[in-house]
Amino acid sequence: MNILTVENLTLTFGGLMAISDLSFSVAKGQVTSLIGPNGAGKTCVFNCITGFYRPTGGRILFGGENLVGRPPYQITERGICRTFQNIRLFNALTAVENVAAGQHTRTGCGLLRCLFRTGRSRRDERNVREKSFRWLEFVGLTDFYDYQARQLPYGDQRRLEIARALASEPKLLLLDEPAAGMNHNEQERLLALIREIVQLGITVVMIDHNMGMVMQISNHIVVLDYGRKIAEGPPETVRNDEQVINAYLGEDFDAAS
Amino acid sequence: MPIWERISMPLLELDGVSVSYGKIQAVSDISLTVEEKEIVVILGNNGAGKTTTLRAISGLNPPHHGRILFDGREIHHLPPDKIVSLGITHVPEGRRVFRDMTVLENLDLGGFSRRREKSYLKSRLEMILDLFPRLAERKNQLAGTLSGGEQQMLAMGRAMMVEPRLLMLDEPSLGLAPLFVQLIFNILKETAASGTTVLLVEQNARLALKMADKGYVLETGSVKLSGPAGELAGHDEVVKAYLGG
Amino acid sequence: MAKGRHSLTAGSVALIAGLLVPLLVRNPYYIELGVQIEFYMVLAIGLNMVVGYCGLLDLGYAAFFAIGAYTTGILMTHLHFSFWFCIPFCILGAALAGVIIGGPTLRLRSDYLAVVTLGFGEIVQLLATNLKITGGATGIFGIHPLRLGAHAFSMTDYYYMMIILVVLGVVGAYSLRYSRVGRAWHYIREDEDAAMAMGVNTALFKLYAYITGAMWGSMVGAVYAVSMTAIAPESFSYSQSVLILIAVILGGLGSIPGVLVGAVLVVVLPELLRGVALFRLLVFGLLMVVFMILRPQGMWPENIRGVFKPLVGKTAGKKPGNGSALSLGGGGE
Repeated sequence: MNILTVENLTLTFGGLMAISDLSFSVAKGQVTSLIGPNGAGKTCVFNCITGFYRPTGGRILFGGENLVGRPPYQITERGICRTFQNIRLFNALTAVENVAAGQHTRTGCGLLRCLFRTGRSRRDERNVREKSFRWLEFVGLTDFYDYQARQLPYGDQRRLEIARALASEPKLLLLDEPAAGMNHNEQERLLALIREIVQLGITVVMIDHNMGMVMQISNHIVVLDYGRKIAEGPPETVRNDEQVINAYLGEDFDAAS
Repeated sequence: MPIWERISMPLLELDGVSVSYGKIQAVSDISLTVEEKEIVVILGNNGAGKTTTLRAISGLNPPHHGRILFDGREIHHLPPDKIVSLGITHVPEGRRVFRDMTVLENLDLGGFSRRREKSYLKSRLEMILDLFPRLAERKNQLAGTLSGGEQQMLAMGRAMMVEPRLLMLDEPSLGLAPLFVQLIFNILKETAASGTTVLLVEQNARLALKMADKGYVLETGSVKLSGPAGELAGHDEVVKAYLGG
Repeated sequence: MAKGRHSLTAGSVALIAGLLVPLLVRNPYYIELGVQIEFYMVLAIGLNMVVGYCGLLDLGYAAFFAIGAYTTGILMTHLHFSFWFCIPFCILGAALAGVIIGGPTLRLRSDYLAVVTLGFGEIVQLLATNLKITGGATGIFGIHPLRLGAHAFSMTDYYYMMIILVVLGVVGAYSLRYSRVGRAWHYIREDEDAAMAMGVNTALFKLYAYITGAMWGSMVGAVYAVSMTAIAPESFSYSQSVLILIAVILGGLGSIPGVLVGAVLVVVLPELLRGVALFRLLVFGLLMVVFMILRPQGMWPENIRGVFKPLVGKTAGKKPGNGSALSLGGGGE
């Protein structure tokens, strides 16, 4: 069963065609990876799905509803959350307060309830706090709850970003280059974390250039080049596809590197 | 100093360098040498002190202990702009390009220190656009509209506009497609062969060690292992931690 | 948090000291100075929600102060409204102005907002100077002071009234800070795109911040009008807006104790400098430059750690990166 279907997605900037006529679907409960050369339009696809860009054409169906034209906050409400290619945390705030951001759409107190600390507002606060700590624990950062996000080392910042996204209780999680800047050891731990996330029943779509990891964890891979889909399929098919080798992997590709 | 000592002298030498941020000691007592025309790679976990080491050399985080010698001259007390003018170029991690300028304007800025030598800069620019055809395709586009990987290429190209004596790169392969990582590494090899010494921090240990002459492995701020790249690539601990044996 | 308890203690001590001042000090000059400090305190608390919490640079905050003061002045002198009956009109007027100004501009980047608010501040002051109903350049005078039975409010009474307003402001600001709304404001301040990705309706919450600040500023303006009994356009000039902003920045953006300290400084420093007569403002300016160089984060910066306390048994103290089972790296690069 598909949780997300992208149909004939097209995005242009001025005269530049960033995505052209792209269609693919994401199966529920699986890991789908989006790969392709730099500038192929992968992050643009994420930006369209999450409402940051408004596509020029096409549809994005999630739970039977077309997301095109909806603002980002409504898309998060519906259960899609993302991380960013170059980590975007709330740098001056503590780790736990960063995670609490995810709970924003799952709570609903407005200005007056917050100002007068009504019963509901206080109940919500307790809940948010509890859940934020739980997600912090899930990614292994409990001990650093009161560190400012910017004080954390790079790898931990990536984890914190994932925890923040998970706290929004998404059905679909979009990870933009989660393994960038990690060495082999760190990638292994990330891999384990993603597996745990999938076990929670969350569908994952991932962009990454680390082929070792992508080939290991993906159920399905979509390959883009110049905004077009050039191949898709399970890892074994994609890694032997001639077009993919020419455009992306290179002749002497070795999945371990 | 006598001439014979000058000849045998390494291009860059760190001697017992320590750096701290406030109370946290990020790098303690690191010593390393980089010979002329060598490619040297620094490996290690995030937080091991690799970036700090590069920042210490380029004067962005001056060491509070130890000496840094470039060409036999102490540089650890010099401000960053003086260090650049000695021929050390640092490409920081994370694609720092001028977002509201075009690709060409960004590259022009890289040639700022030799801005009077028009014909030299022109030939360098052509060379760099040849090396990175992707940048040539987008030369009039604003840097901010490039994709992440393209910005990485631009940052590298900008650093190479004037041939530095020492090119320092912090994770050049970050966020680049596999095909492109290979290309970047080939470019670095050529750069070194043409006389620029390269010191890089890299997570892609397999490729980096294949290309480099020498490697250092940092762990929690100190040098844990060092040696010729070939030997390191066969070292048990390195295989386990960085290559995934 | 130990630090949170410190500011609570410091706050209570300051409050008690503030309450005792009129009993110990007989000189009316000091009482008046005290009232002035209190006005800057409440205004700074209001502006802090806009600038400190939400990161929206507002250079025309005095406009809302003016709207409150003039609404009260006009309603009380022309229509003979009682003071308390004026308050809802002040709040309504400010909210309306806030929506009209904020609605279209809050979608813009923060630097454009600064220009728009600057213009808005000027417009309000120009209107006050040129309209008939606002009394032109001479302003409105003869506003009846507050009364309790037969007793007309003295400066000391206003002093106490303002203390109540300061306390209300502090409590309200704290409640908002540690709530869903306050957090959303901080997320917007830190990274608007990330806030959006986390599901914050940024346009709406920015409007919330702007209007909350506007309504509060307007209410303070109403009290200002009755306590002074006369108001004139020059009290609501651009430099007034800047002075409130200085109180916020000098004290520490986002920090409540900070902006209170900042308010004291912007009133007391120029007074202390009366000795240097002509050069008063010059020296004041220089002092502020020195303050900002020495303490760029403000006199009493925001304590961001007090937001969420850990659940039972969880303590901090480890360095990041070491130890946690799933942690990805070492410390401090």
